[in-house]
Amino acid sequence: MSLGGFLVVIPEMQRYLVIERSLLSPAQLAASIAIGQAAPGPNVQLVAVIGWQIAGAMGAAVCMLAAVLPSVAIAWGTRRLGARFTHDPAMPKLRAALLPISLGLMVSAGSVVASTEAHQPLLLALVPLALWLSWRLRLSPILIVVGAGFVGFAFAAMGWLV
Amino acid sequence: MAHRPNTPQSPVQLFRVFAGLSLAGFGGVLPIAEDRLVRRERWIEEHDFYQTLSLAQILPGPNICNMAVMLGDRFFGLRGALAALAGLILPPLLPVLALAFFYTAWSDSPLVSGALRAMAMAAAGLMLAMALRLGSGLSHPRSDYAIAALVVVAIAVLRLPLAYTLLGVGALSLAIALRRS
Repeated sequence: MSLGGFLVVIPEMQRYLVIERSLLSPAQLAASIAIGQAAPGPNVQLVAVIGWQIAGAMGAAVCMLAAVLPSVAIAWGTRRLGARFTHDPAMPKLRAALLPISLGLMVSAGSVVASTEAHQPLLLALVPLALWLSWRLRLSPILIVVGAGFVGFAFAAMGWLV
Repeated sequence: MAHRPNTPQSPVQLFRVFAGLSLAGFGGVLPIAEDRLVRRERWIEEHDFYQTLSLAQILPGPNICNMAVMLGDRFFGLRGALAALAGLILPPLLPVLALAFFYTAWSDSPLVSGALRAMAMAAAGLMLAMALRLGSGLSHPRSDYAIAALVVVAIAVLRLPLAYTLLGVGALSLAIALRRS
């Protein structure tokens, strides 16, 4: 179900888990993404956090296995096939065709996450700020995420968040 | 094929390097993975890294895991694939589940939820920054931006299922890539 890498699957998870099946609230999904970003490790850990929220430790384990095992088996098989065709002239073209799709999916993931706070300009302003801090100042992601955590904490303490 | 300056010595070393980059990789392992694998260990060249990545991204599932499996397999076959994947996934599960536990215990607190909502927005900004980095290295910017824009409209605006979008836009992107000489 998760064709297309991991962060890029966020719009699909939101569409399916939040809108279609109502297994998670939008806030729970956003919190899972935040937790996944605040902890070290691959972004797929977000799935363990979601599983935890739906069904505790077993949920985390089952979701993690389901997210990782089938796809890495396919990746492994593809690599075995691809290794035979490494010098096939179509391979670089296939890869070149995939790059702009990754780009579009990444933009979509960022936009869908940002849209959970569309009604809250104070929080929404953190999106371009984080983008700028990462893109221009090359601050490390963990500094940006934890810094945002303190800002959000302060906003909430001032009673500025609805 | 250009020469590869360095190779890992054993699956154990693969496990150690992947565990190290995973535990150092806050907010996504990819930038750290690129730094460690391309620049520090020099197991793979940058353009090769990104080409493998774009393949890993279009395959089902988490791209960095796919990448770990493909790189591990490249050096030590199935054993290498499993060593790299285990190093990537297992060590960081403990801290993330501890945080999830903490969050479920405190999710009623407006302060905690305020902090997490802000952190999610920072995460969104980081994803867009990642997209900018990806976009600045395109070799055919005009058609690539057009394809990327189609994906954004389908996924973020029309909220179409990912599978249909990939089939449709993927076919178009492939057709364009194949027509280039």
